[in-house]
Amino acid sequence: MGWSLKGYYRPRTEWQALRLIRRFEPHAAALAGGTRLVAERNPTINILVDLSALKLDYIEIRRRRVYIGALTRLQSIARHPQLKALAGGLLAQAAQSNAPLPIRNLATLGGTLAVSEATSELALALLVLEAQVVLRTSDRSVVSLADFLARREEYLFAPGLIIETRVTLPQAGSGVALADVRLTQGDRPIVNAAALVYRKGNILQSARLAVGGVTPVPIRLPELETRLAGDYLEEATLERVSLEIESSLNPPSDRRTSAEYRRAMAGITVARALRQAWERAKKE
Amino acid sequence: MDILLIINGEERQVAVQVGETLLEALRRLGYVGVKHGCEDGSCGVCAVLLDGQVIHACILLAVQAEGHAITTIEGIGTYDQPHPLQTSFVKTGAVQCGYCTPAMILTAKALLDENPHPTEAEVREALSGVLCRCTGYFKPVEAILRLAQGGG
Repeated sequence: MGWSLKGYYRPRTEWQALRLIRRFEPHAAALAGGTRLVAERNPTINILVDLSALKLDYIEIRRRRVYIGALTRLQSIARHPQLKALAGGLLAQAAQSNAPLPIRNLATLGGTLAVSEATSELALALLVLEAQVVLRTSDRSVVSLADFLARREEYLFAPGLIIETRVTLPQAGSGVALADVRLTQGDRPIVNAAALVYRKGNILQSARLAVGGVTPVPIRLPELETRLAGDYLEEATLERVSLEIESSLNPPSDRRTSAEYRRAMAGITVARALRQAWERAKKE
Repeated sequence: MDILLIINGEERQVAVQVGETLLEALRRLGYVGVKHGCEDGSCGVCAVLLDGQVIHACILLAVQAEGHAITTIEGIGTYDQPHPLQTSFVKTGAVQCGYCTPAMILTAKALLDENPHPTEAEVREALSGVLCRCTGYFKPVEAILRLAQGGG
């Protein structure tokens, strides 16, 4: 193995961190938990700027707002008593599913979003919660997670650092669910989905849907959400959702499965998440 | 660079390369109970405890562990005075080739320290970070539950 690095810095402020990254770019990388960076041992990187002294390891909950520092470990989210209860426990469950325990004890939320995989459960959950990401570039900016994921390299190579993730919790009565298809229980999902639903009787007031595994990062499904709002949710609706997704997405083939199977499973998985969120939502 | 590591309760000043992983550093220092496997955090045989929490030593740089407490299998029991988990593994027949056993025991220790009476599902979830290529999960799960239920 072996990774020949020339330098390692552990700055105490966000500004020092950015200055160091700028000074050594393109050979410097920001080190959060390191579970991806150290595993990859990219030979073009020879300076590491360790963010662990930045005091960004916190979870604060004030009224209906949740603030999670970028250096917060996934396990801190997974086992957080309030996050296990709030919003149907969606964030805690997503953190738990995102990686096995020894990785959760190292990996951070900021790092997870910075390198978000196609099936990151945390990215999916945070997309339907309409999370915001606080970035430190030359100034401080707040962008939506959807925007951040779509333009991730632009934001991070500015250079920029993720400082915090913010979520406004949904109103009481919403239903949430995560669903996935895996080859084995311990494997990463082939596809997965998250749903957040408000209902009134048998009418779907609004739905937020996100799907993972079909594009390089998880995405929301805004057109489908718009069409579903105000409609009855019946078996036929779920079948239509499933078929519509199957015909509109164009996922890749890889070593886990073919594009065809992934496309078919994407439709079923989104419909399954939607159904489960619907069943969990309060009727009025 | 020189860093302070607290290994099995002993403070050690250790000279490490910046790019050296904790796995490489520990094995170089003689803690060979930490096994070398996939090098990318998939297989889990390099598990050690960092401040009591189980982590993969192959994807953590030694410098990241500076000032932290590390527990390896050498720190929890000896041949003459085995840890109760080690005794339970032996009694239950939970050791096959043995390569993943230190990781299984350390993972179980972290679990039981936090949750002395886990359910089978919780034991399996905790062990999901360790791959046993003998596919021997049944007996380790049994050994951990047996100890947790007081049957060591």
